[in-house]
Amino acid sequence: MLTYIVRRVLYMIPTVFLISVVAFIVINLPPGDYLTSMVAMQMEEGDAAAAQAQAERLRVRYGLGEPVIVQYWRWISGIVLRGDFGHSFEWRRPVSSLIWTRLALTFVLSLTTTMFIWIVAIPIGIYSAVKQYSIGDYVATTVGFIGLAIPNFLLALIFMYIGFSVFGQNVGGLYSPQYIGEPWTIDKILNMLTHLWIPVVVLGTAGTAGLIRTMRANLLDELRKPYVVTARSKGLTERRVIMKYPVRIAMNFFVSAQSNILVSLISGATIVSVVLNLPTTGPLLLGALMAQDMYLAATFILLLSTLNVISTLISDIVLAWLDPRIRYS
Amino acid sequence: MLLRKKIQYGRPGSAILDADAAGMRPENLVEVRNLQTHFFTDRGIVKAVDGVSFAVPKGKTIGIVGESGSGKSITARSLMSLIDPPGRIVSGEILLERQDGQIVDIARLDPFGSEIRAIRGADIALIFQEPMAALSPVHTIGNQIIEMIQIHEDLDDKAARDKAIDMLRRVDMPKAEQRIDAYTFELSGGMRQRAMIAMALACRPRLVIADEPTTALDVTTQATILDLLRELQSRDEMSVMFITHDLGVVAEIADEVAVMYLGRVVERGPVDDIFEQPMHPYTRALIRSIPKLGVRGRHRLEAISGMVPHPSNRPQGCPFHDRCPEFMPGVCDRIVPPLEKIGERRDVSCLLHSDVEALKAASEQETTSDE
Repeated sequence: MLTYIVRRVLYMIPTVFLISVVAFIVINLPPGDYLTSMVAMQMEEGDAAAAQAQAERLRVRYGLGEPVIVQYWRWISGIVLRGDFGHSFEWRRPVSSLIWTRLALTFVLSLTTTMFIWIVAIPIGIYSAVKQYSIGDYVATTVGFIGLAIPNFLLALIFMYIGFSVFGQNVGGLYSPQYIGEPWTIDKILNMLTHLWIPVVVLGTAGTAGLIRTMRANLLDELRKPYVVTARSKGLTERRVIMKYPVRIAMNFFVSAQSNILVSLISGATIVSVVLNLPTTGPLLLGALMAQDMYLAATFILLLSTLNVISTLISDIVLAWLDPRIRYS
Repeated sequence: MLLRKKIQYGRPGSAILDADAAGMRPENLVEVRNLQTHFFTDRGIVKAVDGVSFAVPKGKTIGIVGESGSGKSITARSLMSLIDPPGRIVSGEILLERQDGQIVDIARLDPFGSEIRAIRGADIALIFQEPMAALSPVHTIGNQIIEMIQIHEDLDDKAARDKAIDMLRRVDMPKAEQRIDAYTFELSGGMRQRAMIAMALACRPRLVIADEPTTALDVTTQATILDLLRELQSRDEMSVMFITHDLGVVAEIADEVAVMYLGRVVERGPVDDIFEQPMHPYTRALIRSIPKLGVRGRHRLEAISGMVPHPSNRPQGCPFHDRCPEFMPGVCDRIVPPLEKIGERRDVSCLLHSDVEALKAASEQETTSDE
């Protein structure tokens, strides 16, 4: 088991390295850079010579004229050796001062949403499979399909309206306006928790619906396997038969589906975050990409991809722990 | 599945019977009388088991023989009330003499109740065809054997583990102390079946139902597993119900034989009688179709003509009449042959051996009284 984990962690290093290369190259692919658009803007204001001179200074300072490989080396060595992720042109601040709170909030939001999905989907999925074609199964199926069919941003708008008109909450954001820019206190965290439910429910609905279907289908397959009859033939109670054997084995499929859930959560969250005005990574990454703010964008892509690689690793380790067939081969 | 509780199971009346009232013969452990297990599918009722009667003598082996689809596995599952919906036992009796001498009608028990759970594993145990599929792939064999022991016996973890190791030794599992922590995918086919047998026998059941236990094994392993079963049976004086399509295996292991065709027992009796004097044309055809070693010649292996009809498409009259070489037109396709006693522990269900005139008169009387 330990060698398995060590091996998987070692595999991560080349993966993350490749991601960083691809991320950096893709960011550099569009013609021009942030400075070109900055100069173009200032030229319209009439101060062409000064703008050109300033752009030239910045270009030399950040090495933008040099080949991509040199730029990449400068960026990646800064990250690895000094924890320096580069400089955001648009915000005129170091990238590291911008990202960490947003990454942390994204992580909290994703984790809470995943928990929400599990807590809702696992029991309903088990119920739906064990009582196939019962009224409860049909209700779960119908609600599930509705959840899958409604676009998240629409759901977000509906919940914002409900939150505003019924609960009198201010629209959007992860906490009330008076806390914006304030240091983290217990009050701010509590305030955030009261706001968190909207994005969690919005982001979790589709995932929950999908997972109920997956859990139900996998469990239905397992319920027909001969080992279930064996378990019953021992004299176990029906509840114990189902929980110990088919549910346990259906969990394997479930766990291996989890790495995908985090990916879809983080990428799917962008639109919802824009609609709900959440201080997560999505909107900032979108802005950075549109403004060709290369270091900020590349850093986000690198860190989010790393997060996904880690979550895949975690789900693989859990899978190996659950399933001896993986552990021993 | 839990929904099944809403369906009324069995029939009214107590499942626990007086020994005299039940009328069970003392040499029998189980008596199955006119058992009917039907599946209520969307496309109609499938009568998988349709009036099966036989007895399992104490300490003996009965072989249940039949082609695929003859209902032998469903009969076996009915004995433990392990019928998945949409199927259920609709009528008949399954009388079992329990360890304390009490007689229970399993067909009347709630399949989710505590009474049947106390019987499963303790009085009757199952050995399946494919141990790889019948054992959990993510639990060790020890875990599954110990679980069986702890359901029925009040033993702590250490004692149950020791008992499980002891059981594995009894089924000649090499290195039992280590193998107890093995998963099924780490064992060979023969060892898996040994583990399955160890689990089934862990609580010393009085009846073991072996559902084609050697079909998935190669011939050499098959022989050793059969030897093992026979040895364990004589040591523990348990009864074995051996389900197979292989008459060769039956000849080797069984004391009595019941031949099934399309959900019914067509003939039963002591194994020597069945092989020397088969009375039913189907049994005769089955015996003729056994390949014989040492018989020279170019003649083809005899096969039974036609196919087993689907149970939802049962022929009128005798279910075997459309494949029978001794078919009597106007008789076999009209009258359902009853299972008639033709000797001590010997029954056959064939109109060749029945009083056809009397049956005709009876069925005509029935139709007139219906009008």
